[in-house]
Amino acid sequence: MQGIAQPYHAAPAPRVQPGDEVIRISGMSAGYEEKVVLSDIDLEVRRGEVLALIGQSGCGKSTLLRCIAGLLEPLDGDVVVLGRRLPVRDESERRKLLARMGMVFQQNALLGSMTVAENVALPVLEHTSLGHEISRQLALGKLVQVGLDGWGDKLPAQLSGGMQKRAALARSIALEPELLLCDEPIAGLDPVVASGIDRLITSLAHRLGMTVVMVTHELASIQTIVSRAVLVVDGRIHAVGHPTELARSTDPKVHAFFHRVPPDEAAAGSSVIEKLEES
Amino acid sequence: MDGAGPTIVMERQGSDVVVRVSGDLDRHLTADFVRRLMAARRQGAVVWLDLAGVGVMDSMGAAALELGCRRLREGGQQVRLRSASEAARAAMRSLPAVDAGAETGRKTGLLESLGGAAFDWLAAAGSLAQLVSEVAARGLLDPFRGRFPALASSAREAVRIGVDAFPVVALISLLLGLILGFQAAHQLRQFGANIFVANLVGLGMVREFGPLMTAIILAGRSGSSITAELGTMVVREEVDALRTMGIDPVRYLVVPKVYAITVTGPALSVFSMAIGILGGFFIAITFLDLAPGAYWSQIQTAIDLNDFGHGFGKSLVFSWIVVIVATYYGLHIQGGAVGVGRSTTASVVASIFMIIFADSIFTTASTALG
Repeated sequence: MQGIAQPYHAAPAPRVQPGDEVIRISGMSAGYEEKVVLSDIDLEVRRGEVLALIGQSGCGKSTLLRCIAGLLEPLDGDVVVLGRRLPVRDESERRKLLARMGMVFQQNALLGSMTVAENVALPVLEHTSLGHEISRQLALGKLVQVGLDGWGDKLPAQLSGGMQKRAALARSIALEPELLLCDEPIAGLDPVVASGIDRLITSLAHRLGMTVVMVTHELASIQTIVSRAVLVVDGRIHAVGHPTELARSTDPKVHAFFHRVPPDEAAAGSSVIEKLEES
Repeated sequence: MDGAGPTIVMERQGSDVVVRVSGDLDRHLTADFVRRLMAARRQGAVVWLDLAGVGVMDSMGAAALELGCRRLREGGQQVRLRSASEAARAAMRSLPAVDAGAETGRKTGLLESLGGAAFDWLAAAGSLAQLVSEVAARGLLDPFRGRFPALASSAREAVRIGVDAFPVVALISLLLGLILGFQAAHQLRQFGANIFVANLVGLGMVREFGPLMTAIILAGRSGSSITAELGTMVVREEVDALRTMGIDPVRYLVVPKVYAITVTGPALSVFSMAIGILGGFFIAITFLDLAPGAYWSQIQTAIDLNDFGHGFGKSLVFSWIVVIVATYYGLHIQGGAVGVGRSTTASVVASIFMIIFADSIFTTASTALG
């Protein structure tokens, strides 16, 4: 069916060819105000990959994802996404690039004043001339794809956490993007729902030919759906590889992450009695 | 445990002092415990702690003890452990010794604080100017580029910002007119100049109080709502989501509000002027026994197009101040839910301040230009 089943782009845009790079980052550093969070980041992501950015809380994974999404300007280095070097200053070119990407936020970021269907239709209305009726038709179809048939006219607050996540996913794929970014897509969800979201992301990625970059620290996700993982430690890329290989690594930090080894308690500092006895 | 607190006995031993603590060191301690420990200050080069008599001790007792020991060390004394009960050892082992004073950071002097505040103010002024330029670009230039305003969302905002404010504006304007009329009548009656109550109320409402009170009501009612709405969207990453969809948050969220208040702000002001004059009318005919026709005739004599233009122009500028300040504070929220509350209050205060500041400029300029 024209305009819905076929991939649609608001304007002709160069598509990345199979096998080539979707993301290339070289020598990048990034941070907030005076604090540098990421240093010397070099990363390539190829078309069709499902890549996970993993690491402990506060290591810089979400910052890296925000740089790729164009939400945070790097302090240094190059970030090239879908053949465009960031930041794209020209508004028209930036809109074209963003229409080729979709993002799922950790808190879903559904607009609370709109129904679920209106949320999903929003990027379609913004980037196409399909009009309200077709956009709604498309949105309802996307909601069926993510298992939310019949929930289109509800407000986001009326949905459970897992359902909101599905709705956010439907919105992120509304324009059939080439690149999907997910910030902790299964955080806070129970294992059954989380597994469903993982499966959904994988099947949509395969069906739509998307490249997926996700921030996660869920080992189950990493080991079942991810084709390559990047371990970030203290703002730097520490290890890259297939999850199975990384899980067998003898590197202490990689081993600690994959085998859930807690940090050494001695690193916490002297206790009150130790301080008295060392005086 | 009888609640009387631990006992502290001090004994000089040569050049040192032994501090024997007996009893329970737990959550029932008071801050007085550390002060009592400080009695060992300057009593000896080395303070020996004897905790053999300690019964129950938990991490709260360990923290109080650690604080006391730290203060003694800062005074140049060494603090050592002579003996301790098992309970005391276990509690002291469980709590890391942290320099609590280091966590509060360096104190900043007055000049440094003033300088920092000045830089923050300049940065905020820059951000505000940037927002104004973006709103102007999107609101004024976009139609010429083929991007037409979202009239549906502008209409919804007009109802929310303006139409729903009519009742409260009407009530306050009526009361203001009554107050103005009553205050004027009280003075003018002494001079037999009752008729001039129309001038006072009419000119007062049209040139000043109509636009001013309307803007203040809009700032408190609609401005705070706008700040809270946008701030919540920022906290929930909805504004970031709009950016990742290629939707300019200023064009999508701010411009419809500017269009809406451009229409409803002045409309509310004109409405306020009329209702205020009506309030003065009630006072004129009841308190001053003026003939209704005389009042309205005097109103027409006193107020000319220049006065109306002055008030109308002010109301437009005040309306823009309300919406720009509210959206600025909303889009620059920091600190989560607490930040939303703080910014909402700050936006109302800032709006009212800037409205009155602008009013003073208008009035001065109008007077200077005659």
